[in-house]
Amino acid sequence: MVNVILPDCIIHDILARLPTKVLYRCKCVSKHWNSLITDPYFIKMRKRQMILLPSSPIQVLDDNYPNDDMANLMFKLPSPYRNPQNNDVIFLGTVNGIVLLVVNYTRMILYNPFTGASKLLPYPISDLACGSNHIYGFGYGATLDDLKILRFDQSAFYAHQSAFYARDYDILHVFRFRTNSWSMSRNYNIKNILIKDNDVGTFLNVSLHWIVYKYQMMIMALNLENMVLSYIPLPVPGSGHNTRSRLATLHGRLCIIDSNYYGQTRLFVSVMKEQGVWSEQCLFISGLEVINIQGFAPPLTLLNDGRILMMNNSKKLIIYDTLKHSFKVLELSEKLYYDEKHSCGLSVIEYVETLVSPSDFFAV
Amino acid sequence: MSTSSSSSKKIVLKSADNETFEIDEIVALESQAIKNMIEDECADNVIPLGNIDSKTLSKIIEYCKKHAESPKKDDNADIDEKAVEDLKSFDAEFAKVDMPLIQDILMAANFLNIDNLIGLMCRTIADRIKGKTPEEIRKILNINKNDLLSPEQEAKAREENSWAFD
Repeated sequence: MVNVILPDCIIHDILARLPTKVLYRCKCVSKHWNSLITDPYFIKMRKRQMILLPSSPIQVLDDNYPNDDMANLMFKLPSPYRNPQNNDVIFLGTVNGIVLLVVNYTRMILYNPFTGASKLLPYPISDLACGSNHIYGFGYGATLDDLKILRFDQSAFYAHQSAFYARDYDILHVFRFRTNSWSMSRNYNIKNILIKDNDVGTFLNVSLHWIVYKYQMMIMALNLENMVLSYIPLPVPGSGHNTRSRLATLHGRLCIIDSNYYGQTRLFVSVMKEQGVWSEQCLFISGLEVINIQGFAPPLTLLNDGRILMMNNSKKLIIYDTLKHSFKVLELSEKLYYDEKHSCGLSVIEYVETLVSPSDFFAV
Repeated sequence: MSTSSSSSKKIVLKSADNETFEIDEIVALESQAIKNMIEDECADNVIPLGNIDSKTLSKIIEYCKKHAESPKKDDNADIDEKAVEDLKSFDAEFAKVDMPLIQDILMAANFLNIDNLIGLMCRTIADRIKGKTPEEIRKILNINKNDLLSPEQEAKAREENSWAFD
């Protein structure tokens, strides 16, 4: 038979198996393919999970099966802000495929990495004397109608202290999408805590979570429904945790990932089974030496399917599949933004590709 | 054909070019469409497939035979890995055919509703167009020349998605 015309459902099936970068190229194949690729139903069905890396320009990891060719695994995205070189980028989180980012501590942008659409948000003005260290969060209470952005600021009194001193954060700015405006409150008197500079809360089940040091390491949680602050003890209080400890979510549960190095990179993962009750610590000895990665490769994040993203000091990105005990090693073409001094500030974000527009978050 | 199956029920398929293929019912059941016909008792002794030529049909039968013989995943949780590997390498070999035949098999598999085969063929096409330019893809899949984007539209699309063409 010649000139078979494949039905649309079959072409969708083929397109769904292509890496995102190839999919974009395929928009130029024909008018029909273009319309099939930009079909909202198709993008919804494809449900492709991507990983956003905080570099400038922003980079994306498309580590989905089947995508084993390095050429399409990592790529740079067009920038949602001008002059993409050498900016500090922090991701505050993602909701429904839309990512919230802060650029150079001065601009807050809602961004759809898949379509490239973006929207600049107002940014709360802070007293300059307060310095630029904030605590961030992005999430919602009972429903998406309650979506908000949070920023805790330090009180001016402690503004110029070194990073290793405990600080007070007593100003809270909240942006509500419902009203499209910021409000400020001084009701949260978070005294004497040590937290990573510009740390970003991990959002799960109506609450934001940060690791803080307050006499000992613990989790500070803010319930976004009633805006009540609480503290949750860490597993094995007082031991095993350090400034490299990171929070993540795994199948809808909060977990903490720690690491140390004794000739080998060792990773420890604990999962919170219920409020304040932790699973046994699970130890992974990475065995990176097998693939010639020498030295410490601390984890950047635990991905939601259990893979661990790590980076070594020669700036190689390592995706470690704990189940198969296999690795992928990627050479970073753009430096990731992170604070060398505290090995923190690096927020890696997983998002699902969507055609939703950033403007859709606002009430009409 | 193995001797043990000679006693089992036979189904005859007839291609567009009037060639007949006698196969075990168990092989035919790989096709959800034929399975439905048999269950609804609307299958005669001979099932005519007016839109599938004999070359394509013999490939489809080859595939269904192999898959019907292999242990199914849901039969038993710990099927041996050798069988899985064997089926994998069969699929890989099976897909090593030219693009027109792949498309014919895909159309036929779609008509006969053979899920695994549709998946295999779609994966094969995706793999073959992955590293190609839009021009090459048009050629490979014989895309209708009347459906191309206008030069202006294409230039615009390329500019907007320039990062994907690096």
